[in-house]
Amino acid sequence: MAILTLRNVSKVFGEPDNGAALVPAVDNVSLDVEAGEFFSIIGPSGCGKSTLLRVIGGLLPATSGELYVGAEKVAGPHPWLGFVFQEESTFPWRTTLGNVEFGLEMRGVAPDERRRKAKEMIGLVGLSGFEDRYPSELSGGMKQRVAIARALVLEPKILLMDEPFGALDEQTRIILGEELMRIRDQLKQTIILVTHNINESVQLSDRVMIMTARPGRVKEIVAIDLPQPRDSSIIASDRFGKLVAQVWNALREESIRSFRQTEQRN
Amino acid sequence: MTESTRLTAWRLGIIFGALLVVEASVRSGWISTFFLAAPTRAVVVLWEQLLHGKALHLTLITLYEIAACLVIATIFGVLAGFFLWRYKLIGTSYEMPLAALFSSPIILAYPIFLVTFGRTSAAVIALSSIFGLIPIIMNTKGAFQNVNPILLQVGASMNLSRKQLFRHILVPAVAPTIFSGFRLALTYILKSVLGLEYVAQVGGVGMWLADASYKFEVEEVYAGLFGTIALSIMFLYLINRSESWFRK
Ligand SMILES: Nc1ncnc2c1ncn2[C@@H]1O[C@H](COP(=O)(O)OP(=O)(O)OP(=O)(O)O)[C@@H](O)[C@H]1O
Ligand SMILES: [Mg+2]
Repeated sequence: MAILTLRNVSKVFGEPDNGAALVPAVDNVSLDVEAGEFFSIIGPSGCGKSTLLRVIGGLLPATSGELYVGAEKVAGPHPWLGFVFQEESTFPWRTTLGNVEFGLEMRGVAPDERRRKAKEMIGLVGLSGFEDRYPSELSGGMKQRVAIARALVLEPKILLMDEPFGALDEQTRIILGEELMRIRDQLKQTIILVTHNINESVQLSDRVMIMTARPGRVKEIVAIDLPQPRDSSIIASDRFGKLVAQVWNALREESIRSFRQTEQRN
Repeated sequence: MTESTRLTAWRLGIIFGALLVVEASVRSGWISTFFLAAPTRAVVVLWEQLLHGKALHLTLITLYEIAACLVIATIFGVLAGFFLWRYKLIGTSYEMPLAALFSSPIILAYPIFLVTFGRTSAAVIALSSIFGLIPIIMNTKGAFQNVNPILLQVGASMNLSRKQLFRHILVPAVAPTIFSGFRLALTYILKSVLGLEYVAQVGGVGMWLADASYKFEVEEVYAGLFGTIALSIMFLYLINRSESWFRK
């Protein structure tokens, strides 16, 4: 059974009664994500990817449509969900350990236990030895890993990630992607990843959903039939190249359209 | 040695080095004791005055006035700043006049306060609180305005209650800016309290300084200055200690 279901979800920004122009950001999106699936959403810049993910995460109310987590219809943050933001989101007043412990602390987990769990998760994202550093003493990639660990330690059944590697260089991005797959296999999670990187989406996913230019609709969903488990060496295979081409084919037209849209607005 | 202990060492080194130079210059007669007291003498005089003279009483008055100003400025300043942030329209309309007020010489209004409250501590507290109030209002408003909304979304994504969001995300996020407002406020309050005590002879360390300087009691003047510095260090220490409590 699908662990996450969207039925005709739309989001329009702007309130009709105060005269602001209405911005349709997400239009009529329906999809089912299976438990344990790695599902990527890719689309041109500004097409509504973050908006869609925020709606799924319950951080933004949908204008219309329905959202189910498991069999439960939801409107608001569901405890099964964890969120990693596109923007820098670590708490600057907390150390790595303090950041990762945060959610457990708020849930009233005893200090010993939450420390143990947080340390384990910090190890899993490769930050052992940096427990007592503040975010200002960490690199961008390390901060993003802190944010990932902070979400993962709460053991969300579904992890929503909004371009978590967006600000990183290509090498770090590939290595972190690999780590993410390893963690996913260990924790048996469902992951929904928003990205604008085609290679990344193909490297990591079971399925890739391509969105149209704004307002974002489902253009096509490509099944990635590369063998599992995989590591980053898959990038060299023929099949990988073919799938990347297939995603780009679907995306190309939309990217051009999105580019024109922004040109017109300027 | 860590970076911060090295810094502290340097800082103390510079301060004590400077004191040593002053001490040597006075003792060798290079600078006349008519202008400058040897720091060790000033400290001894301060100590004697605290034990036997009028200084203890006067210091307590100043201590009380500063503390009262800080409490009043903190309560009203944080509330007003929060209010100006919550109600955007009011906040926007009052930002300019407040800034203007901040840069105007309110201190010249002291006769009005003396007439209203008499030559009492109340007059000193009433006027000096205003000096503390303004930076706290401005910093509080700015602090809330500049909270990174993503941090609140992190909290929302974890299903935090409103109370948890407030205490564990909003408060630590605004604390540094508000506390630098407190430190600014302390500086202004100190200046105003001592200045008023000095000018209006209302009592406190300021009056002691005035008395001593009229009588050319150089050592007492410097003893009073050291006392003032000690007070300000004490208040800064308290402010910094409570800041770290809010930052978690
Ligand atoms: N709070 C908001 N109010 C009004 N419009 C918004 C708001 N948030 C986003 N938008 C608009 O909705 C559209 C989609 O934005 P969104 O952030 O979802 O895009 P995105 O696909 O995540 O882009 P990127 O790849 O750059 O991250 C954009 O045109 C944006 O200007
Ligand atoms: Mg986005």
